[in-house]
Parts: sequence; C-alpha cells; structure tokens
Amino acid sequence: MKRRELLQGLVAGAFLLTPLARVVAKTLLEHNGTLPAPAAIERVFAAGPPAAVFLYVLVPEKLLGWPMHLAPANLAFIHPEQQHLPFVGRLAGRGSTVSLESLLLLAPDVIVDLGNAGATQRSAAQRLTQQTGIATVQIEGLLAHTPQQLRQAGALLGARQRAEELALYSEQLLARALRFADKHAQKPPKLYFARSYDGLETGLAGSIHSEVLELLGCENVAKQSGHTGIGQVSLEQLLNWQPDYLLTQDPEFVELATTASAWQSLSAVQTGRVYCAPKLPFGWLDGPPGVNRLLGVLWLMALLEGRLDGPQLKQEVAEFFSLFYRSPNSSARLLSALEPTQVLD
Amino acid sequence: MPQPASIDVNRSLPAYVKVMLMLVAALLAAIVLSLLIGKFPLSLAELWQVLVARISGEPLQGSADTVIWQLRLPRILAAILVGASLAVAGAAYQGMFRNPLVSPDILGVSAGAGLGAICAIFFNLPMLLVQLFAFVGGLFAVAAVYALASLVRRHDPVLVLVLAGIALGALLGAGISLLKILADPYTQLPTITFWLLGGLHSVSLADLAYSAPLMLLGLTPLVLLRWRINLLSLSDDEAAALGVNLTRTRLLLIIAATLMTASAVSFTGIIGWVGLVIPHVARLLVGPHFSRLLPVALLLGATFLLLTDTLARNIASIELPLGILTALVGAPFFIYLLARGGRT
Repeated sequence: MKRRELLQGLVAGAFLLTPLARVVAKTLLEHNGTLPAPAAIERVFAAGPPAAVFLYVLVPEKLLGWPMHLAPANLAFIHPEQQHLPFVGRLAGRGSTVSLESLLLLAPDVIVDLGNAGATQRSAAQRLTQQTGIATVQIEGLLAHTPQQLRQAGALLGARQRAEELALYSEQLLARALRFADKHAQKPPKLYFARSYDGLETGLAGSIHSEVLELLGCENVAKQSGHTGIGQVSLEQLLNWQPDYLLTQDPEFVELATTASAWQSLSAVQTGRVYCAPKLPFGWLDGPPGVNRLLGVLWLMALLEGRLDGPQLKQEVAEFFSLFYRSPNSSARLLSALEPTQVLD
Repeated sequence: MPQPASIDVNRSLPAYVKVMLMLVAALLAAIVLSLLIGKFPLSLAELWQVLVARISGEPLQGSADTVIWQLRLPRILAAILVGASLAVAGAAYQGMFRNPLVSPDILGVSAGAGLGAICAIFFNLPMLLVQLFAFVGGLFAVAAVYALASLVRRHDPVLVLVLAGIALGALLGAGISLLKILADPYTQLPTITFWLLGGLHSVSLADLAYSAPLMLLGLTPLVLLRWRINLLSLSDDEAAALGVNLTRTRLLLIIAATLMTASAVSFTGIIGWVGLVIPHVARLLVGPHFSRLLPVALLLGATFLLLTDTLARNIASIELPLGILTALVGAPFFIYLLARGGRT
C-alpha cells in the first residue's frame, strides 16, 4: 500500500505544476495479484491492441508480442526490434484468441490492458490472475489522461525516464489542444467521423471513438442521448446535420462520398471538406483507441487551421514518429504515411 | 392447367377482393406517410414542389430534391421490394416444405450471403464488392445445399433439403463466427455486427437498379406457377399420380426464391422475421391457397417492412438496425394474431 500512496503523491505533485492540474489526479491503474518489483518486470503481455500500442511506445523491449495482425505497411513504421515480434492473440474474456496455456508458455511477468473496463472485464481479469497466477494491470484509457497513464504505468513497469519523456510531450500537446478548443469555443467546427465501407457508421459523441474530435472542442454531429458506442446514421440525417467536415480513415469512403450523387448535397462534399486520416502504423483518429490518437490531435488541429500541406505538420509528425514509435526515420516513408491525406475538390 | 379447389375460390371472392383493396390502400398510405416524415425537415408544400418539379422535368436544385428523390424514395422502394420478396419467398417455402416454421433462409441463403459479405468487410473491400460477395455467397450456399440433397436418394427429398440446409447453415455460421473473432474489434467488428442485423439506411438508386430486376425475375415464375405450387404440399407420389413432376417445380421455386432473397439480402444485410411471420398473417387472412396467398403476402410484406423502416429511421437520432425492429414489432403482432385466431 505504501508504494501506491507514494506513487499517488508523486503523481498529484507533478500535476499541480502542470496546466493539466484541472484533471483530477487519481490513480488510473488497478491491479490483481502480486506485482513484481518494477526493475524485475521484463516480460509484459498486451491484452489488446490499445495496450499493445501503449506498451510499444513505453516499454518496447518488454513487449512479448502483438495481439493484432500487423500488415507489412504497418510494420514499416515499427522499430526493427519489434517488427519481428510474434502475433500472440488477445485476451478479452470470452473473446480471447490466446489460450491460457500459450499464455503460460509466454510466461509474462504482468498482463496489461488499457481501456475503459467495466465490471465484466474486471472480473475476467481477476479470474485470469486466480487461474494463472500472473498479475494483471488495468489502465483507464481516456486520451486526455495519456500523461498520467504513461507516468503511472512507467513507474510500475520500471520505465520512469521513458515515461516522463513521453508524458511531457503528451502534456504539451494536450495543453495545445485545450488552447485550440478554447479559441474555437464560440463556434466549434461541426464534424462527422465516417466509419465502415458505406460511411454511415460512426462513433457517437462521447464515445472513445471520437475522443480526438471532442478533445479539440469540435462538435461531433452524431449525438444520441444515453448511447455512446458506435451507431448507424442515414444520409438524410447527415443532410439535416450538415457537418462542416467529413472525416474518415477509409479511402473507400472518400471515393464514395466524392462520386455517389446522393452525397453531393452535403455542403462538406460540395466545399471539398472530405478528409481521410492516415492509419499507419496505427489509426491516427481511432482504431485502436490508444496513444496513437495523439497523432490524430496533431493532424486534426492542422486540418482545422488549414495547414495540412504545410511543413509544420510534417515536422511534428516526424518528431512524433521518432519519439513515440522510434520509427526508422526516413522522410519518404513519412510522406507515404501522410499520402492519403488529400483535400478533394 | 389444373385448378384445385376452384369452387372454394369463387365462393369467397368478395371477401378476398376486400382484403386486397384494404392492403393496397394500406400500402399507399404507408408510402405517403413514409415520404412525409424523416430526419430532414420538409414541409408538405416543399414535398409537393419537389415531386412536381421532378415530374415536370425541371428538378429543383438543393437538398430537398436529394432527400426525396435520392434518399427517401429509393429507400421506400427498397423497403417495398425487400419486404415483398422476403414474404413471398417465405410463403412459397412454407408451402413447399410443408412446415410453418420455415423462413426464406432455410436453405442457407442468408448464411451464405453473410459469409460472403463478411469476407469482403474483413478484407476491406469497397461497398459494391461487399454486395456482390453477399449475392454470390447466397446463391452458392443454396446451390451447394441442393447439390448435396440430390446426392441422397433414399429419403424424402424435402426433408433431405431441409437437413442439408441446416447442416450447411451451421458450417457457414461457423465461418462467420471465425471471421468475427479474427476481425479488427475496433473497426471491422461493428460493421459486421451491423450487417448481420440488417438495415436499409445506405440504400441508393444504384442498389435498386441491379436488385429490383433480379427480384422481379424471381417473382415471375412464382406468379406464373402459383397454381402448381399448391401441389408441392402433396407428397411426390401423390403429385406423380396427378401427372406433375415435382422435382422440376421444386427446383424452379428454389431458384426463384433464392434469387429474390439473395438480391434483397445483398444490399440490406440479414432482415429476419418478415419471411417467417408475414406468410402466417397472410394465411390467417385468405387461407393457404397460393394464388391468393402470394399477392396478399406480397402486399403485407411490403407494407410491414416499409412501416418498420420508417420507424427505424425516425425513432432516434441514429438508425436502429431493421433486424431488431422487425422482431420487436413482428413478434408481438404475431402473438396477438395467434391468440385472436385461436379464439374464433
């Protein structure tokens, strides 16, 4: 208990000095089982894709494998040492694709999950620890809490220095996002974030899928009181909402929105405000909902400020790729990551 | 052509005509209602202007014209076509399989279409290919079931068809589940789930342009053979005694029903309940004679799906999957009808 209190104290102290002090300083970690000492943790299993991205940026050398399949296009931006990590499957209660026996074979010191866990997931994690004896750590996964997540997890996994470096960067970026939101508070841009092949699926306002939009103070047009998951909408509803911008991560949708005649009545399509966010090595706006979305914050801010093609964004992206992803830094590759970002007319 | 029970038919003709007239009126009323309400607010006057302008050959520019002609009307037409197709296919199958629990997907068309569509979603293919994969998957599944069933000769052919359909359906269902497990849980899985729940929210004129002819093509043999389909409820021996080759009629009916269902499912996803419940309601209204059951089921299915879809697009600020609403609306209505029918 003592270490935990100390940790909390440290975290709280750090916050009072930052512009993010308004975020309640609380522990974002929950764990089951006995955690090894931070220095003794060498093997970490990522329960799902958000945790994998988180661990890859924080403790890459301790990551045991990827819970998702990564295509060569994604792997091109991953550090060579983690490019060859095996696909190990994910742990998600009944939806798990890794068997407990292969989990034991991998012999992780700790299992880490990131996301907003409900009672079902918590009890599944408890049971997992009881069954296997491996400690599990659940990190609350809001994008706005990224600095705290990094610091707290860094302390736990023996990577304080790396965590601090990443947390400082995130803090600055989030503070910029808040300033951006304040500046546009009078008249926030209205956005629609299209998903799926028909573009009529969307992360509703308040869901983890539209955090980037809301962090920047934008108005997510798709609202449904009492429901914050993914929903379906109709084109008629979109015509009624008339968003200022259409965002997507799916180039197929851009093709559809710019060619299908029914979409041409949307003012965002008429004015060429259909934008496809890059999704390499991980989705910039969403998918998975992890720290990868910090890139989406940079990208969306540049988009709304009309400097998507400017040198500033390219430089910021290059900085992020080298700091977070430790990407083999070649500008040609970065350009290809930015390529789907096209303004349509 | 033999016309069994033709005396019966003539005797209750006025009642039948009355039912038909009421159903046509109900469908027309549903169309008007559906045109009038939607998420994009349009006044009656605007609606009228838009309709008149387009008919007189000088379409208005602007959102109102798009909402009516590109969104609401295609969606209304799609609801009518899909509802009619599923109900008619269900009515034909229930007669042919002599089983009231049979729905149009008994021979695996939905499972096949589902696996096809989900494969396309899994490999991030564009919309057109999702629809094509679904259509082809549906046709393949039924063809496989039919081929499988014709290999077995010693049993009742209808029973063998049903069993083969169930077996292949389970196999395809396993494939669907496997892809769901492998799909990206943050991007693909929701899309797959929505596809499996069905919906008309993305219908466009282009979808209708390919599916409407296919559905009508499937409907034609059913209309032409409406008398002969009654004979399918006889056993093969009894029918042979009447000089009718049931195997060929059955095959034709399966092709027709599959064509209708597969082309509907290809752009709507799986919509349950219509093909199961509507034939029963139709039978309660006009009896089991297929020449009467067909038009009644057709109109009922069209009206039911149109009203349900109107509900689906107006009940909340997001769309509710149609598959959920058809069950929510259809099941209580069905229970009510059963209870009422039981008393009289």
